[in-house]
Parts: sequence; structure tokens; C-alpha cells
Amino acid sequence: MDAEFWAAVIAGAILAGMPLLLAALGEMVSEQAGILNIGLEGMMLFGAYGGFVVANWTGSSWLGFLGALIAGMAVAMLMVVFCVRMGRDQIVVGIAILLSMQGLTSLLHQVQFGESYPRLDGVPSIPIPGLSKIPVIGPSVFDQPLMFYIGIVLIFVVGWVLNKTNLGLNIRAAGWKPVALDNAGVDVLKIRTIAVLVTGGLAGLGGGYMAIIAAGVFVPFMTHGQGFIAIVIAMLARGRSVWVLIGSFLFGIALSITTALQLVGVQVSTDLINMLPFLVVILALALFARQSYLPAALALPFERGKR
Amino acid sequence: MGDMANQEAISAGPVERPAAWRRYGKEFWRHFAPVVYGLAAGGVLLLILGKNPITFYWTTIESGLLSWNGLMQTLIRLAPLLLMSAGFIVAFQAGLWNIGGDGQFLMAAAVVGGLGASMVGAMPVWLALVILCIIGFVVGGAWTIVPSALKAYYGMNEIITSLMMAYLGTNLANYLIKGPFITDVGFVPQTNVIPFADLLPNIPGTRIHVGIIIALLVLAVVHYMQTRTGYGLRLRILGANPKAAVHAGINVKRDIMSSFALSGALIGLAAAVEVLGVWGYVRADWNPAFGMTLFAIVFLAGLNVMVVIPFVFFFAIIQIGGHEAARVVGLPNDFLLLLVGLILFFMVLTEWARIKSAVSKKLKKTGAGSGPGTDKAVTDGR
Amino acid sequence: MLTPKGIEDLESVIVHLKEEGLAVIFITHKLHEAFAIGDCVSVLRQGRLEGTIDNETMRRSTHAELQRMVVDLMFPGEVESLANVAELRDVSELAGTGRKAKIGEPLLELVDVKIPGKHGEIGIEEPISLTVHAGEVVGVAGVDGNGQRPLAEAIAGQRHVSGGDIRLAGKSIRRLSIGARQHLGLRYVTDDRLGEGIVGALSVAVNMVSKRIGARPFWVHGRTRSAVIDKHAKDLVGEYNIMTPSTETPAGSLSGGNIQKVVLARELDFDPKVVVFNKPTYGLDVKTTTVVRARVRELADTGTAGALVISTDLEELLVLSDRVAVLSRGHLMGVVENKPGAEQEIGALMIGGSHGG
Repeated sequence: MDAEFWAAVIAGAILAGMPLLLAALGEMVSEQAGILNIGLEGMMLFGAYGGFVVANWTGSSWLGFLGALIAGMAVAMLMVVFCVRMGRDQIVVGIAILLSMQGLTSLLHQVQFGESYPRLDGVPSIPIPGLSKIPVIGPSVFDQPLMFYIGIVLIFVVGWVLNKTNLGLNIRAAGWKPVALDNAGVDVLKIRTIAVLVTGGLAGLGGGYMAIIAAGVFVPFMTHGQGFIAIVIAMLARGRSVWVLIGSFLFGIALSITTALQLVGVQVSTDLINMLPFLVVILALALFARQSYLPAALALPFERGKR
Repeated sequence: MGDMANQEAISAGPVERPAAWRRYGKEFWRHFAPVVYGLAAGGVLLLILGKNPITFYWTTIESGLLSWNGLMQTLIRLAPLLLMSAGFIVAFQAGLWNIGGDGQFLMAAAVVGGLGASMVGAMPVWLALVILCIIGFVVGGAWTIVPSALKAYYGMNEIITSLMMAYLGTNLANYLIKGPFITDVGFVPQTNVIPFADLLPNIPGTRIHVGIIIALLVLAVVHYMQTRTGYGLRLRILGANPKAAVHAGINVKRDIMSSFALSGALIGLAAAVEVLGVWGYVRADWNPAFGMTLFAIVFLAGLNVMVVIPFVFFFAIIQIGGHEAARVVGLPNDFLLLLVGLILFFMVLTEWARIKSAVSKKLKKTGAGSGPGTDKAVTDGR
Repeated sequence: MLTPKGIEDLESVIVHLKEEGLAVIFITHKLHEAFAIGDCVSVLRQGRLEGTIDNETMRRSTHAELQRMVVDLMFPGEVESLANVAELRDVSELAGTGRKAKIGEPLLELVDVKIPGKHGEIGIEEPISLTVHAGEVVGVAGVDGNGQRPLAEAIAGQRHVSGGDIRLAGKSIRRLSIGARQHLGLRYVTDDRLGEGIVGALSVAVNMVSKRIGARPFWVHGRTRSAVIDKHAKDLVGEYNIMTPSTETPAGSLSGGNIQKVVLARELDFDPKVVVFNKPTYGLDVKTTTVVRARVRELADTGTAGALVISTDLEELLVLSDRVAVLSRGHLMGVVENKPGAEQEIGALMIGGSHGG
């Protein structure tokens, strides 16, 4: 195992980990606010599609990301209307979102790009002076597209908002004790709406990262279960955003290590390697997870005056 | 889910009793209206995309229901779909979100496919088929032990754990097929092939294997279990109000474990029936992914085993006929996912509208209430 | 629970608020509190305003007149039959009324029991010992959240004890499951009626047997005998005078009082030995309250069963109990014989506890 191998592993982990990171960060916000967003995958997928279409149309990756953000939030509006406002079952609505977005993006993709299969140009990366010269880590970590750095900053921004601001306190109260929040005169539904929209936006960006930076194309079903992995990361992170960072890149490594191993000529079963992250999660849950783990009001609709 | 129970309570309130046929008609419409709205919305979408919705829907019905060949395929497809729905219903009724159905399905399929050919060769065919069905049943059930134990003993959210087990199962099934069970037949890695003559027998006079009969029998048993036994009632209490289940002295840990296992086992049986009835082998990366869409169907049917039959039948028509219809109008097959998603949204919407109108009716009634003692319900004592 | 002293304190706080120019709306189901604190009193019933006694009338009328007016608004035409209800009388008159002389063998014994609280809730912090005899009603007084629920749940088996022993008729039940304890005749009337007492979506009939699932005569070899369950439910509906359209009605759509009657019917059926009542009349109207209390006392008066009544309502404990234990901050402050003047003693014990931390 030489430097080339590790550089490939780390670079691959970052490429695969960034979408997870953004989506998991979003999911964490809505989970803290008491909304279990099973439709995360659908939001990512529509974000990926929206990002790709806009980037392809305008030729600008920045406008592409804006498109991804808006697309993700648009899907999140469904969650807002059905789960937050109407108080319907979050799991059923989440699955409805997942299925319809899978179908819709595949359909739109076929209709628009069924014959042309366009590709996006690569997004330029920005080396950080000095740091990018470090062997192995330098070129794989500190020479990335700007969106990567923004994602890392977002981790700390979200962490700060959740833990240090009034809004963050309200969000966590909406998940742990919505009745108390309501009694304090804060509109629980408004707080939850904000949280779900943030989730949608971040999940959309995650999908956009996949399509615009990692793949350069949109392929139906390209999120491939990553939305669900992001949900797990968010649950394990328990509202602490640094754990989202760690979790995402651990999953990223697991997702990219097969390719890296093949690169250096080691043949292992991809199926067994692919099992690793899930095995780790199950073990982690079995060893460390206990009951008082998720917000008390998670997945429960809030209705005023109803206990 | 407590909320689901609550809605029941409100909507099932004894307001008036219309004639029986009207009640059933109403009940039918309650379940079926979202389907109509969903299909209509899908039609509008097709129009926007410049496709002819009538062509699409007519081709679906023609090739899934009205042609002899299509009808048979639909009925063959019913077997695994019905068994899997039964599996989901058992878990959902007990309030357990078994999201890992696809993993249970594929694990059972891989093991049944891997052992099938050699077992059929080693003993009387009927015995081998019976044992293989039992193996599928057991493997599917076994694949639920981790999530259900974590749920029962640590209160761990089973959505996440069963989903993790689904990914594990999908990959492990592939590993088994490419590893221990591999043969040199075909271009894609696959298991040994059970000779066509040794697959599940057909219903005389048709090309439909007996899987659908097995499925209907299993549904009848599950229905009986749910409505006529103490075990079924315990699961309903567990699903409607877990705290009440504890309070009532129900052994909640045992019932969570057993119902989750039964759910996985029925899904495993679905896989065994599909492999033994249709394919005779399992290919690597084969994943029919019935799970998520059946979720929707099971909810549309209100978790009722008997109501689910027409819905699954309808869904099988869409699956079989929609395939052909999508080809004819030039759309990807995945349009069906969108249709199911839309139907699910309309289900949520109509349910909400129903509850709203029930509540406002109730308010009207108490507002115009006559004297003391009438309709004390809902308004006081909370 | 407000002690007589506590009500005085609250009164002075409200007077103070009034002096500051604030308007106060005080919602209570206790008539004497309404009269003591309110300048005018309005009566709400089934979501409608039944009437208001204005400031002028309040000043002019005697206590007895006011009481009659309010009761008439609440229960038109039933003033006479409600004359002796505890709610309408003064606490000091009630002390000692619950006491009966005949006390039998010990049925429920708590021996040095310690119970951990969950998620920051107050548990039973210091080992407590308490005995309920046959024919006896033991009250547990205290402000809500001072260890009452842990105590009730530990006896019922819904929560583990971290030390000590619980005995039923001389045998340790500490390690038995909830179901096994029920089987031995231990019953628990929970204070969380809607949360755990009933399954709202299921019928009244089913809720009445939900603690006997699988047992004869309602189930034979696992098979449900709907006719037997229905007959049983109809009998209980009649016996307890439960207002329900039918036994098939979802229990959750009944009124709070009728839900409590369903719970009571279930728990008092099949020869209970010891019944733990947690806030049995909380949030109920005066009429249902009377019915429930009569049932509690009847149970003990058979001489073969005992009751532990946990309540935040001092009047309730005084009309029901033979002895009253006082809980404060998870500590047993003392056990008071119910005799004239007991209300002062209980109040003193409660206040003594609140200075502790």
C-alpha cells in the first residue's frame, strides 16, 4: 500500500462523503426539530436532477448548486404541507416522496436527455496554498472545488446555529418538548417548517454535489440509497455536527475503498466490502445505542392543545 | 402511529348507520378514491409530457388484464406480492416498521436458489419443494432477529436497523451467489438451475404455478390470526398503543420478536415461491425491489389483509401491463413509481380531508346539541 | 396538591396580582377555591358557557347560596342528590370520615423499597416501607411529581425497584412480570387513562378484557370468543352505568368519565386483592367522582381486599382513607391516622418536606 493508494482512498472518500455530509447535516436539523425525514433520498435525487439541469443549461456550476438548493427545498415543501401542517404520518409521506421523486426524475431525464446524454465540464478545484503541498493528504484533501470548502464551513455553521443561537434552541425544543415551546409562545409549526426547508436545501445540495462535481452527469437512481445512509449518520450524530463530518467520511471511505483496492491490483469481493459500513453501523448501534437517543417527539405530529 | 389510532377513533365514531350496501360502497370508495385521483394526476402529467394518457392506461389494462398471456403473468406475479404484503401487514399492525423487506426477500431467494438444484436432485421433488419453502420462510425470519432484538431490548428505532440489515442482506445475497453458490452457467454469475419440470406445479389447465394458492391460504390464516385470536389482538394493541400493551401485562419483548420474525418469514416465503415458481435460479444483482412500492399498497389497503387482495391485483396489472405501456408511449418503466407515489400522496390527502370533515361534523352536532346528556363524547373530561 | 395553607398562599399571590392591575382567570374544578379566589364565577359545561355569577351577587350571597347556584348551573335539577358530595364541603369537616374500624391481614407490603426515577423525574429516593391490610384504604398524599408514579408503577411491575421487596399476601412479587402480578390479584388503575389505560382505537368490549388476553372464558386455545367478550362488556356497562352508544364503540371516543368507568370496571373485576389507584378522580366531574369513590370504599369494605389511593386531592384522601401516607420529594414523610384534625397533620408533613431541598 503506497502513497498513491492512500491518496486515491482519501480523494474517493471525500468525493463520496460530501453528498452524505450535506444530506446528513440537513437530516440532523429536521430530526432535532422532531421530523423524521424518510424522504431524504427523494430530496437528494431531485436536487441532483435540478442541479444538473440548471448547470447544463446555464453552463455555471454555481447556478447549478442554486438550482439543486431550490429543487431540494421544493420537495421539502411537500413534507412541510403534509407532515408539519396537516400532521400526517411522516413515514408514509416520506415513502411517497421517495417513490415519486425516483419516478419523476427518471421520467424527466428520459424525456429531456434520452437521446443526448450531455456531460458537465469538470469543476475547477482550488488548492489551498501551503497545505496542498503536504504529501498524500495535500492533493487529496486540500485541492478541492470551492463547494467542498463551503460544505465544511456549513458543518460548523449548522453546529453553531443549533447549539448557540435562539433559533437552534427553538429547533431542539420543537423536537424534544414541542408543548413547552408552544407554551413559551413560539410557533412550533413555523420552527419545524424552517427546519424541514433547511433539510431539503442541504439534501438538494448533497444531490447537486453528486451530479455536478462527483459524476458530471445525472443518472436515474444515482443516489442509490445514500439518503438512507445519511439518515443513519444523522441519528448516530445525535445533534452534534462534528459527528456528521466523521460519519460521512467513514462511509465515504467504505464506499471508495473497493475502487482504490482494485487500483493497486488487490482483488476483493465488492459485495463484502460494501457490507462493511452497514456492519459497522449495526455494531455501533448495538454497542452504544440506548433508548434516550432520539428527540422525544420525533415522528410525532404536533397539534396545538392535543397531548 | 398513536395518531393513526386516534383517527380511527374519530372516523369510526357511531354517527349514523346507512344501509349495508351504501356502507360497503363508501368503504370501497374510501380506499379506492386516492387511486383514481393518482391515476388522473398521472394522466395530466403524461399530457404535459406530450404523451397520450388514454393510450398508456388502455395498453396497461389490455396487456396486464385483458390478454390471456398478460392476465396469467399478472396472476403469477400476485403470489410473491401477496405474500410480501401479508408480511408487511403483520409487522405494521404491531407498530413495527419493517423497512428491510427487500433484504429479507433477497437473502431467502439466494439461499433457496443456491440450495434448490441440489436438493431437488437428492430427494423426491415435492419434499424438496416443501423443504425449500420452509428454508425461505426461516431465512427471511432470521434476517429480522437483529433489528427486532435491538428494538425489543434497547428500544432502538427499527426503521434504521432493518434498513441497514436490508443493505447487508442485498450485498450478502450477492456475495453468496457469486461465491459459494456460483455455477459456470450463463454470462452473469448465478446459482444452479432447477430443471423446469421440477418447479412448483401449475394449476391444472393454466401456466400459473400454485404460488397464488399458497399466498391466498396464507392470507386467510393471517386474517384469522389477526381477527380471531388472542395473539392477533395483542399485536393490535402493541401497534395501536405500545404503552397500553405494557400496562396490560403483555409480554412486549416476545411479541415484538415474534411478529417481526413472522413478517420477515412471510417475505422469505414470497421469495421462495417466486424462485421456485418462476425462475428456478437466482442471478447476481437480481433485485425486484417490491418492498417500497408494496409499502404504499399495504397502506392504501388500510393494513387489512382482505382489502389488500384487490389492491395487489391492481398493482400487479400495473406492473405487468405498465411495462408494455411504458414501452409503447416511450417512457421509462419508472413512471410506475411516480404513479404509486402520487396515489400515496392522494391517500394522505383524502384521509386528512375525511378527518377534517368528521371533526367539523362533530362540532356542528354538539353546537346544535339538545339539552343535557346528549353526546358527551370528545368534548369533556380530557 | 394544595394544602389549606397553600390555597391561602395562592390567594394572597392573586390578590397581589390584582393590586398590580392584572386581570386573573382562575380555572378550577373545586368550588370552594372558585369562591375563595374569584370575584365572579362562570360555569362552563360541554364547551358552552352555562352562566355567570356576577360580582354583585357574589358579595351579597352566602356560601351555601352560591354553592346551590353553581351546582344548579353544572347539574340542572340535581342539586338535592349532590348535597353530600365531598367537593362541596369544607376540608376540616371531612377529616376522619373515611376511617373504618375493621382491618385484616396485611395484603400488600412494601419493605425498604427504593425506586429510581426516569429522565430526571423524582423517584423513591429513600427506602420506604408501607403496608396495606385487608379492608383498608391507604392514601398517599403529595404534590404531583414527588414519586407517586414511580411508586404506583413499581407496585404494578411496570418499573424495576433498585432495592427492597414487595410482597403480596406474604409472597414476594418483586421479580414477577406485570401479567403475573395481575394474575395474583394485584390491579393498577393508572392516572394516564388515555396514554396507557385504554387503547382508544379498540372497542369498549375489548378494552374491558385487554388485561386477560388469552385467558378463559374469553379465549379458548387462543381463539377469541367474541360473544362471551361482548356479553361480559354489556354486563359491566350496565353495572357501572357507562354511557356508550354500544360495546363496539371505540373506547377513545367516550368522555373522560366514562373511560375511567371502563378502566375501573376492568380492574375491579375478577376478585382483586389489592388495587392501586393513581389519581382515580383526576379531571372527572363531580358525579363520576362520587361513583368512583364509592367503588373504592366498597372494595375495601368487603374486608377481603385493600386499596392504595394515590391522590393530589386532600378531600378525596380524607373521605376514603383509613391512613394517609405523605410523600414529598421521593421521601415518605410520615403516615397519619385519618381522624379529625388529620388535614392539619398532613399539611404540616407536606410543608416540612418542601423545606428539605
